[in-house]
Amino acid sequence: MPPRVTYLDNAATSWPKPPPVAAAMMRFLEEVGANPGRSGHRLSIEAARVVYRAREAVAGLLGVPDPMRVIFCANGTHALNLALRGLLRPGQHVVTTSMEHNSVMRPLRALEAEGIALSVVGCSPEGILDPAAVEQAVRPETAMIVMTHASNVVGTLMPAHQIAIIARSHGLLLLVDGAQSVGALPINMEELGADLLAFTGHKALCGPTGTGGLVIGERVDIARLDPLVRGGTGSNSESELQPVFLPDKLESGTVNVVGLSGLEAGVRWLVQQGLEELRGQERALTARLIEGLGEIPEVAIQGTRDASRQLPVVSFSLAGLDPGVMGLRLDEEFGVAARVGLHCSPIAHQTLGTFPTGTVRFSLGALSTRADVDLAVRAVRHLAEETKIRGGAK
Amino acid sequence: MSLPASVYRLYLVPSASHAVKGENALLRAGIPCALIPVPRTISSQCGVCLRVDFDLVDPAGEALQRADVKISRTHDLRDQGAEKGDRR
Repeated sequence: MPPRVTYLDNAATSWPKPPPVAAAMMRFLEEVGANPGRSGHRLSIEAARVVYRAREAVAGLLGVPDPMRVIFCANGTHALNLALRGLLRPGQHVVTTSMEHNSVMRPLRALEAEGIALSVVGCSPEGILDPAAVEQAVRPETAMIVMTHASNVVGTLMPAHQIAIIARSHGLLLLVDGAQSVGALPINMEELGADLLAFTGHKALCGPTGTGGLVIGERVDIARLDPLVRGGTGSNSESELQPVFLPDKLESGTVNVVGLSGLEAGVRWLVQQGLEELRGQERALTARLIEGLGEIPEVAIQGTRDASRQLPVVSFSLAGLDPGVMGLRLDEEFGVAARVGLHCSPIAHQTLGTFPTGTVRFSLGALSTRADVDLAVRAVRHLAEETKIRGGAK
Repeated sequence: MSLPASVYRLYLVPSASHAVKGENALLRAGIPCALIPVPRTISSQCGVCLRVDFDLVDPAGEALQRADVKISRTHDLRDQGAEKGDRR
């Protein structure tokens, strides 16, 4: 019988989901099921209410006064592409960091090939960003700073608020990749100072996959933000031109209503639990995980090794054991589900000095327990001792 | 404002999102309302609009304005027909 799964891959997607998430999705499928905003019957109207409630829930969580500025997308990557492709024009310059996920780097590299200049500001080997280095990279033609709020590889919290101050002082837009942070940290978009905040619904927000979005701040000129996709919106149907108002301008095609019903339930569950409370629990568990792994001499932990300066994402390697092999053995022998390799972030691993081998990443979530952490540490200790006895044989 | 034969005011909005936002604003203000398909005689939109008893148009207008609900047009509806509209 395979061991019970100890799920430590919450930075990829959170699991298990809080029970209300599946319940809300089932309710929608069984009792509503219709297309929002397309028809006038009661089920279609109820579907529109479901979508709006999700919009309100996300807006409320992030302190956004107007829910219409929450644009739903398929995921965080889609949202980042919308912001980057929608706003940047050839001849402009963008500043980003060396801790970004490929969801930022790949669209930026593609835009670079289309005439947009790019500066990548290096971070320290712990993944720490120096705001002064960002300011030094700003040029007269700079239009935007794009940065992650927290590294998906090592969880390091980035100085987004300080960068926002720099961005505003130079008249630049700040796009924050909140894939890891939204739902994991209490965030007020205005206090953070971000002009655009991309989020995913299926990680710390506890919703299902296929949900995410872009929150658009008041400083962004909507007229200059082009949609990625144009098409049916259920509005202005007499016109063959895309609506110019939000959210319809940027939300063509039927949105993932089933997913959004789950996302709303996830957000409301988080609010009910208390984000500060959950953050406190996760910080304590992260400290325990770092401490436990740190006591194993053969383990090298990447990042700050300080739970107060990072999200519950701990990346490490074990001397003499390939991360891929380790991931397989953790899964098969101990039931520990972790992510290994480069975590879709080659530039972050280059920064950390772990490229191209990568690391093993344990990432905790709102429903992780002390028992999960202790079991994972015991498993790594076992593998470390066994590897040592075998003389580092793989 | 005397429209004795009119029973409802329709608030046409840009999209279903705006309609639900308006519905929330009205219900929070204690004003009964309904979301109904936009009558084809009024607009070719395939969406929904807000319907409010004509007697309540003053507080409804205030509630919608307070909540910053975008209203693209209003129309006063008598029974089955669409008799009188005003563009904003």
